[in-house]
Amino acid sequence: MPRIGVFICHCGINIEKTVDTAKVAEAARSFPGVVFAADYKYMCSDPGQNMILDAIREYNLDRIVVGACSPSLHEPTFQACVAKADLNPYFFEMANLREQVSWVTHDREMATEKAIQAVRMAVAKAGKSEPLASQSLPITKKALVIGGGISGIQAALDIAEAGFPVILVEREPSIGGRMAQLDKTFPTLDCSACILTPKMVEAARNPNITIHTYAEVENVAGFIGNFEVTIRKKARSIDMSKCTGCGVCYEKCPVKVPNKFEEGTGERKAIYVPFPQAVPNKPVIDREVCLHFTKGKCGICAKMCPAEAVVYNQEDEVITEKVGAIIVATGFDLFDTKRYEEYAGGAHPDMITSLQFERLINASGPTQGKLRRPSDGKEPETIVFIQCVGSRDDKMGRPYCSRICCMYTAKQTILVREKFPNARIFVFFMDIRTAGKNYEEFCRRAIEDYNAEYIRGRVSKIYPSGDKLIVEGSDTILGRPVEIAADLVVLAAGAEARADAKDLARMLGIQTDQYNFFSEAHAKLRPVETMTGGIFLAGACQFPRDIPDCVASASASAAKALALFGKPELASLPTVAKVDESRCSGCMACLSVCPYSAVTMEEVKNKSGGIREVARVNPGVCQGCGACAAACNAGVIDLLGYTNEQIACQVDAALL
Amino acid sequence: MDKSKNLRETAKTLLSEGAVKSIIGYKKGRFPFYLQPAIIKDPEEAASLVFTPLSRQNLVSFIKKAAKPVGVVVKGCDLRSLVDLLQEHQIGRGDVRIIGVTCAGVLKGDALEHDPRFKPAEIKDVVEDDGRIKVITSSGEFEMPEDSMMEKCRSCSVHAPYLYDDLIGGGEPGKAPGPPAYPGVEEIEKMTPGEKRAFWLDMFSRCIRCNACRQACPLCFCEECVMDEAKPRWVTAEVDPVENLFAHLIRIYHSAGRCVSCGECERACPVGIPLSLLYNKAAKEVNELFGYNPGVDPEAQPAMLTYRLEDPECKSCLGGRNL
Repeated sequence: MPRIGVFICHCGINIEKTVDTAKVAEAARSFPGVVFAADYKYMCSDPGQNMILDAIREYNLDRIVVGACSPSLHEPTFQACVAKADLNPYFFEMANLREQVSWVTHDREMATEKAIQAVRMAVAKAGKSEPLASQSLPITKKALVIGGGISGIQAALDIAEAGFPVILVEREPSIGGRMAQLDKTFPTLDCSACILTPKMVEAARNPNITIHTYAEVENVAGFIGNFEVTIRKKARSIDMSKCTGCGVCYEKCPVKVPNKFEEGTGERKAIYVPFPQAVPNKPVIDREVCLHFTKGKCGICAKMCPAEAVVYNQEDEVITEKVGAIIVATGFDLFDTKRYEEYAGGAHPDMITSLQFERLINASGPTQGKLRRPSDGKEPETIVFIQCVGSRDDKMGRPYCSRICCMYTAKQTILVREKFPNARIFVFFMDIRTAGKNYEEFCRRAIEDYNAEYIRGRVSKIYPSGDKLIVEGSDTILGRPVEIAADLVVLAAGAEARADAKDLARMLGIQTDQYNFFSEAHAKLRPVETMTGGIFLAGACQFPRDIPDCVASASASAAKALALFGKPELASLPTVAKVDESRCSGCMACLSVCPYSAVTMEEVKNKSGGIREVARVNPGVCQGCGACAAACNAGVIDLLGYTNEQIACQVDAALL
Repeated sequence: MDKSKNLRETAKTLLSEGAVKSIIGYKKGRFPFYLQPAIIKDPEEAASLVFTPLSRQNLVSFIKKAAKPVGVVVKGCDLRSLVDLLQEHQIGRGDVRIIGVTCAGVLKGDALEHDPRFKPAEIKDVVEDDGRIKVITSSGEFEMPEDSMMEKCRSCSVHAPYLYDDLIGGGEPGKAPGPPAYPGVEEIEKMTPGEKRAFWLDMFSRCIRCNACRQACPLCFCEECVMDEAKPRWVTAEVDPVENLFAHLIRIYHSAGRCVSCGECERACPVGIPLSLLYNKAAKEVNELFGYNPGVDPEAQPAMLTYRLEDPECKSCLGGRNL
């Protein structure tokens, strides 16, 4: 018979105000196997833990049940505590009397009753617990960074600097991401490319970093310290070892299509380098538009290439890599401003997005930095910026603030003013949000020194009239309607999760929030970790972030990966699944449902010499999710620490 | 075509040529109104095999213990459970010789005993004649009415097997069947929850926990049934309506998405519990939710072991429905 000790925590008043903890302890004394029960203000405190240790010695306890908060918070605390008394940590059991009892009701009587039941269940389970131990597992000290924007580059550089190899995967033909598209950066107005390209080059030159551009992660298997990643390197149609990046191919290519990098404001060829500072600075053939691939004609690039580097029959290459940590830095998409039909029917040549503005004012952009009206090439005299287009708008399913638009709009007004001292610049805003070092000062400068006319209010309608766009809105401070005949309208498009973020989350086994941004493990205390061990988040794939925040979160995620790599080995999870092979009929339902490929089919011999096929779980690979145990009709799979017998005892205790 | 003769010839050839080590078929029993399963190994024993409208049992239930490779006589409906066993790794395709038989339907277990036109003792033989079932008795020949056939036969869409190595009875091979008709389920669905509870508690108060349903089920192949498990004791052996209901609920959940509506459980039940209604209800739910029809494609991944993005959330799709 086990000797069980029960400890009921008040959690200050968190539990005590709704649950009569003394009564729960009193009730626990009558449960089978319980030889000691007490309640205390803070069980997790040093005096609380000492109380447990003293009781173990005095009453010779061999199972400990604590009724307190969520196990996800303090189970490790109490497991370490009982381990101090030389008890196996899995002889500890926790009943959640806070999140599952006191915080969900004000009814003290019923809460107390429920708490007693929860403790009775935990006692029943503890009575059947077995000692468990972990094994040691190796760690592959190599990281995968998904996404080669500023966040991915920074994370890769930090890990590489610490001496560990990094694989950086980018799906576009060049690393650089969104930051490469920007002109100047707030609040210092330094040129985005000038501060980004050195980092791109540094990443390319670092011997610890392997960059795969024009490549995508296709599959991720395994678990923390031991992932196996499949990467598809799309056929570039270029022999990278021969290509010198001379550029004659894209000079001569006859096919012109809109350039995605230029947000459609400029064109590129079918064989192209997305932008002049691209890393690697070698072209790629867009097979969907190249005449050689679509019509079987042309072939000019191959003829012109002095290095004979054009390889039309190149095929996708699929490689696998073993890594120990994964940093997700896939960035964001822009809200589709066409959804605002009241704004000139969703589209007008002289109504552009903020990112198109960046390209049109950028010296390396399609207009060499000369800001002109796209419709007729005239210099704009009146420019209207509209903030919160796809941000803070419930109707569009985007109730959140995109965080970056107030600042970049202020920046864009300054850039316009520098080009056109006499232009009229209007900004429609809801609130100005400039929380950040030197941010508020920057925005004040735009208003006061650069004479941007800020109007508080929303724009209800935009429509063309002659060669102008009429912007109808309201000034909610003066309480009157506003009508502006604009030459150019810039919509501050909000940031949203990548369209395929859900697919990546599924592949990685990480969570997303209601807007499909990747979820952190804890909003405050674990902001760059995911709920899946060994997978970390960097940059705007988690939520809209500006450059400094992206870089900070990237370095933070690198630190998390490095903390992992600093360990000699990992302790495997003791709470893994185990098959009773003598009763297994080999239907392999477990194998079908296992998300970690931890189940294999093995042949075993009967005593009579016959061969049977049965399932077996690799305890080093198993992550203890319990899917197999639930799928097994015969109930021959136990999840250790949560065995069928323990759960049945809990159910029986609940039904008492 | 005389199916029995056709079957005997095929069985004899298969055994004498060594294509199989054993064959599971039907032979005449102690009474002319029953057939019994037979596992034969000797080519000479092939002469005892028959196939008649009394070939009710699903012989796939016996396949696991038979000497391999094994030939098994299957009707189109039985074939579905064999397909499931292939999916669930209980037998390899190379270890089973599928002797498919075209079938016009089989008689209900009590159809001959309660026919007022003749006494069971007078029965000489039961034969199929051009799709009709005839009883030959000492006082003459009688054609059996359609409602004397098993419920599943009256809505059968697999008269000819769609997967076989040998086809007995000739005719065109069958097509992979759609979901069964789930006979009788709609009437139960119309009941209020209270009526359903009363109905099933009444039915399960009859259960004597003999486990014949489980033993007859071709898909109950576990080495040890959870209902027999002592540690933990999920369900007691106590004969009590609620405990009985619980035991049957375990079976329903374990067979949902696998059950092929062969009706063996109901046929084997000695106290007449309409078990097919329950299993058909589960099968119907799985089919409606996941579009999965078990027992058709040996390569298909069973519904309960697959996750697809388009799988409906049960909360929204079953919300407000009267289950």
